Amino acid sequence: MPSSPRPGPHPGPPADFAARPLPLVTVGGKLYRVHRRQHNPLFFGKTGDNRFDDALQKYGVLYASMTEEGAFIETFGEPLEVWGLES
Amino acid sequence: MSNRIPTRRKAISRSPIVRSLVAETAGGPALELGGQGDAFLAFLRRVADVALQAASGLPRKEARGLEKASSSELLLRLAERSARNEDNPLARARVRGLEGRQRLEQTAGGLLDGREVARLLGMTPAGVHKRYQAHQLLGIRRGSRRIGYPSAQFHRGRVIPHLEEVLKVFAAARVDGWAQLAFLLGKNSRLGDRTPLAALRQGDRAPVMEAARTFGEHGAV
Repeated sequence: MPSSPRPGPHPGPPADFAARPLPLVTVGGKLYRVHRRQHNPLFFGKTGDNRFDDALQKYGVLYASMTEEGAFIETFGEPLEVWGLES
Repeated sequence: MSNRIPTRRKAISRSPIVRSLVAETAGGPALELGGQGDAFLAFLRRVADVALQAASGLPRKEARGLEKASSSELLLRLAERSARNEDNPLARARVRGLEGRQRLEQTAGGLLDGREVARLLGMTPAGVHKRYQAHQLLGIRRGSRRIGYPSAQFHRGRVIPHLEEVLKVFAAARVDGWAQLAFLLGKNSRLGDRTPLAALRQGDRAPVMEAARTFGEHGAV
């Protein structure tokens, strides 16, 4: 099977990255999160395993969605394919 | 007597075959149950009624196809029709889940029983069970006592390297057996779309461990 060309490694951030202001967005309404039973709904993870985690594992990040469907798919999206339930 | 399969509900329940079958069953185990006979007969009638309702209107071609199906496949198909007739979305989702399990089982190369695994690994069935309890083997509970061991966790007569470490992560997080199997056999974007089992076979322990830790967690890849 021909392999699709890969774009290569992502370039590093710009030199003034640390000086740039962080864009903050205020959202209203409900936030949805799917979590394991042993965790609290409010859970700020520090494992560094997820995309927006602190690489130094100092601060925690809470992942949530604006919709129930979004929360579901962000948690279980990948395994659904193997069940044949992706559509 | 016609050999054609009746597919209309009334025709099925009036069919001499079904009548004699019900009479036969009612005279058999029901009598042995003594005082519980009436309840058992009522239960049997309910089962027959539910099955007839679900089978009613089944396209003739499909009914033919189901003649060779296993009992569980037949019941699954009837359950799906029943859920649809009742317009019960939760029941339909549960049936889809059962179908998903069947698919997963096939992808796993089937489920082996303890004796088969014992022969494969050259150990006793009791030893296999011990390894399952210590989370060194993936086993899926089927009923109260039976455990099925997905075939795909073995490679050349051995358990795939480092699988044990992955299973320990899942045991600590209390992830159920089917979900563990779905993880191991599902393409994973953290592994360049390989399945965790394939990645483990290639010796890529660390990214599989990361993928296991984040499984079932709300996060971002």
